[in-house]
Amino acid sequence: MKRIVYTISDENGIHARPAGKIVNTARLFQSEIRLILPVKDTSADAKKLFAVMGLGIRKGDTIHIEAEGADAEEAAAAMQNTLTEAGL
Amino acid sequence: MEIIQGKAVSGGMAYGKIFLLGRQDYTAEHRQSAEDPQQEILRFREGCRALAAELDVLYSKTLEAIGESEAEIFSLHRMMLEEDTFTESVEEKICQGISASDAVLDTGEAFAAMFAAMDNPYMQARDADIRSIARRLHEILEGRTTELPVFTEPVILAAEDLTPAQTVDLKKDKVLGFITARGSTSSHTAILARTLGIPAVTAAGTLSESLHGLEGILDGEQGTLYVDPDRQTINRFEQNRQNEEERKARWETMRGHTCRTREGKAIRIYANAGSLEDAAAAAAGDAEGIGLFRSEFLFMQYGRNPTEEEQYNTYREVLAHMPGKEVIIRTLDAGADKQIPWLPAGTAEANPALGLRAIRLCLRYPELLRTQLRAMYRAAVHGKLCAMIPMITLPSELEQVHAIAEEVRRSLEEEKIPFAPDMPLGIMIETPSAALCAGTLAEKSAFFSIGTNDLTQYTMAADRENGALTYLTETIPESVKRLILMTTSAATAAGIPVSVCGELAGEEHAIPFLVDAGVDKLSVSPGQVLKVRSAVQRHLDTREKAE
Repeated sequence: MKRIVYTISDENGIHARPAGKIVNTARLFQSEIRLILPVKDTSADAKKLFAVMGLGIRKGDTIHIEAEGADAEEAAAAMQNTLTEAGL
Repeated sequence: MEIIQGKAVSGGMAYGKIFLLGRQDYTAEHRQSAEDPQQEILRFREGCRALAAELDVLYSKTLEAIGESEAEIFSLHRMMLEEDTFTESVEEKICQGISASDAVLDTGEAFAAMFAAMDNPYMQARDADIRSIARRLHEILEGRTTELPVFTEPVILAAEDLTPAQTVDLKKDKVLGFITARGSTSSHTAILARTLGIPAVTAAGTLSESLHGLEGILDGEQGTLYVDPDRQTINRFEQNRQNEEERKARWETMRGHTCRTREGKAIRIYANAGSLEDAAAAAAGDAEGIGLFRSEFLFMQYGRNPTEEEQYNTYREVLAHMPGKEVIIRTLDAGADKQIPWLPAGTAEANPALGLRAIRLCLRYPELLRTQLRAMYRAAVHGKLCAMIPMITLPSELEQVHAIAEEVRRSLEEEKIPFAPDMPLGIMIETPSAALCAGTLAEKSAFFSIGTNDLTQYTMAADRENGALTYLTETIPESVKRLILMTTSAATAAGIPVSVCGELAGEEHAIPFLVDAGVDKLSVSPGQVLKVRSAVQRHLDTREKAE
């Protein structure tokens, strides 16, 4: 399993359009990818749009992304990259 | 005079008759039951496919007309539509005996309620997105249309709410502005209104039917609608409009004018275009040519790689809009921020902006470039077409392009197909490497065009869209200025023209520097041509006085 930790700095948190990007990236990989919000003790399947949006991740929240599977390394790197690129 | 106060979402003022859009009833009152759930599920899936196709069209239309981040609204809508949580919930309801149309509305409302209940105001506003998808799907299933009525005169549109799809379609000459009873300042509809420059007010509460047909002044800055306005309000509006018109009239005097330096060198104002509509707008806006024609839209429009024949026909149509004038067509610039889903440049790359994009992609898959160059060489028979290669980083890439162009010319000749062998082939200077190698590149280029957006991003190692880094990209950084000067002096030495086709070309603060650097053309959006020409002339006048 590969885990990365990321802190959200975008004013609006993970809002709709970035959530779409996250899901699109996640769907490129076989690995199971979860977005975890420890502060609220909730998590979501990163391949499901409503689930990701439903987390309501806000500015300043620290999230964990866990990828489990054959391409976990690549998946985690790509997720990190998507978050950075979306300015989150 | 009655004053209706809402939330200001898009600035500007509008004065005209109020047109109240009839309220649509979306409550599933006349419950229909599904006689054959299996049949209803098929009908639902059919409807989803139809809506997905409709959203794809909206996506490409918005991408062309407005831009990537606005277009994303519709790809997001498509993702929402295709979420299994959504589809499963609808199908579950259908299995319980509810009709497809009602199941869609119920599910849409349930998801909207979920968003509305979230503690983040931005996420709350997403209820409008899911609701607009569900309602549109409902309409498709019921065989209804959401197209706006045809307005015979310009109006201020008043509506319960507008969907992003309806907003994109608002014709600016007919809809002066809009006010909605519901909505928020962070809805996608609001974002679109701002981008389109349509004055807009949302969250105005109830809009009574008696408003229909009355005169109104909409102040998008203050979020106010003045119904049946008094003299004073009308005067204020008139004053505002007069100032605006004076500015426009000053620009209008620039129509047909060519800016020249004291030495007699022309500085021409071209337009950027990304569609046939843009090409028409360029002609109407008095552009002296098209400095950047983005060929990506052809790929989006067909949803696959366009054939040589399709490209040839489109390029001919563009030339027809610009008789006797130069049309510079950029070869496919896919990758990075312009993803074309089926091409192997992509999100799988860790860093697409530094990845397989533009000419790099075309050289990796040379068939793309071959087809495009064949279409261009053939179309060039019918006008002044020039080919422009994006993202050249090294002289060796340009040599490869020339080898392919040579191959293309030979095969056209063998096949006895008419073509223009002397079509100019130029390059974009948008990487620091290209600017630094400008001397070598100039030997093999018919012209240079500086893409300031990418040049700035790659020089400063900063994304222009990243709000935290504006101090690196706003104004013109010294290092970017130097690269521009290296480019213009290499071009002058080689005797080839230089144009600027990035956003900088349209920014008034940048114009004096670009003109003094010795550029020959500025290529801007079609609506900015006269404004930029006026700014260039003003600078030349000042410069002459100083001399």
